Amino acid sequence: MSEPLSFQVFDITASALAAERTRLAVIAQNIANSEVTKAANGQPYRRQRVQFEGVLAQEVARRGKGQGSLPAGGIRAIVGDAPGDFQRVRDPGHKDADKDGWVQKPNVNVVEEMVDMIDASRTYEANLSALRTWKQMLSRTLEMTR
Amino acid sequence: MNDFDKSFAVTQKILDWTTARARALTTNIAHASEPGYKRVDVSFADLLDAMRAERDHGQKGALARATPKPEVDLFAAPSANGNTVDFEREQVQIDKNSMTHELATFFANSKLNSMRSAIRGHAS
Repeated sequence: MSEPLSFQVFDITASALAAERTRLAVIAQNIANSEVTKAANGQPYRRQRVQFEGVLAQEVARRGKGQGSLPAGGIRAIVGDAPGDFQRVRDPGHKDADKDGWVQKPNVNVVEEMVDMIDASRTYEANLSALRTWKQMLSRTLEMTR
Repeated sequence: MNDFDKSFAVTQKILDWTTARARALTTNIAHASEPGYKRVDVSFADLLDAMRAERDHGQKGALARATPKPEVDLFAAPSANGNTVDFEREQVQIDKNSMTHELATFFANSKLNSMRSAIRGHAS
C-alpha cells in the first residue's frame, strides 16, 4: 500500500475491467449452453450469474487522515448458479424427454443475456475511456517538469 | 513566502483538486455495475471557501491547509439496483475536470517557463 494514490486508480479501473470481462465470459457461456439438456451432473445446464462486490481498499483504514480518501476500492465479480426453474418444453422423441414427452431445458433466456451483454460491454468501454482520460491528466502533470 | 510561491499556491491547490476529483469519478465508473454503490465526488466549493477565508478574512494558511475530500453524492438519483452512477453524467464531468486540470497545468507551465527564463537570463 506504499503505492502512490495516483496509481491506485489504475488498479481500481483494472479490477472493473476484469470484472466486466468475467461477466462477458459468463454471458457467452450461458448463451453457448442455452440448449444443453444434460450437463455433467445429469441435469440441464443451470444459468450462471455474476454478482458484483466492492472490494474495500486498505486505504479505507487510513480514512480520516484527510489525504484523498475514497469510500471504496476496486470491484470483484462473483460467479454462481442462478436460481429459477428449468423451462419445460414438449418434445417427444428428444433423447432426454421423460415418458410423457417433456424435456427440461436450461433456465437461460437468450434475450436477457444479450441485453446484459450490451450493458457489460458498454461498462467496459466507459472504464477504458475513464482510464484514458486519467492517463492523459497524469502525463500533463508530468510535462510540467520538462 | 515569496511572490512566486504565492502565485503558485492557488494553481497547486487546483491541481490537487482536479486530481482528487479525477480519482473519485474514475472510481465511480469502475463501480457502475455494483448494486447499491453511491457515487462520490469532490466539491470545488471547499477550495473556493478556503481561498475566500485566506484572501477576504485574513485567515493565514487557510488555503495551505485545505485538502480535497471525496464525499458521497446524496443528490444523485438511484437506478433500479440502488446504484447512483450515470455513465453520461460521469463522462461529461471527467472531461470537464480534465480540461480544468489542463488549464491549471498551462498556468503552472507558463509560470515555470518564465522562472526558467529569469534563471537563464534570456527568453525561451
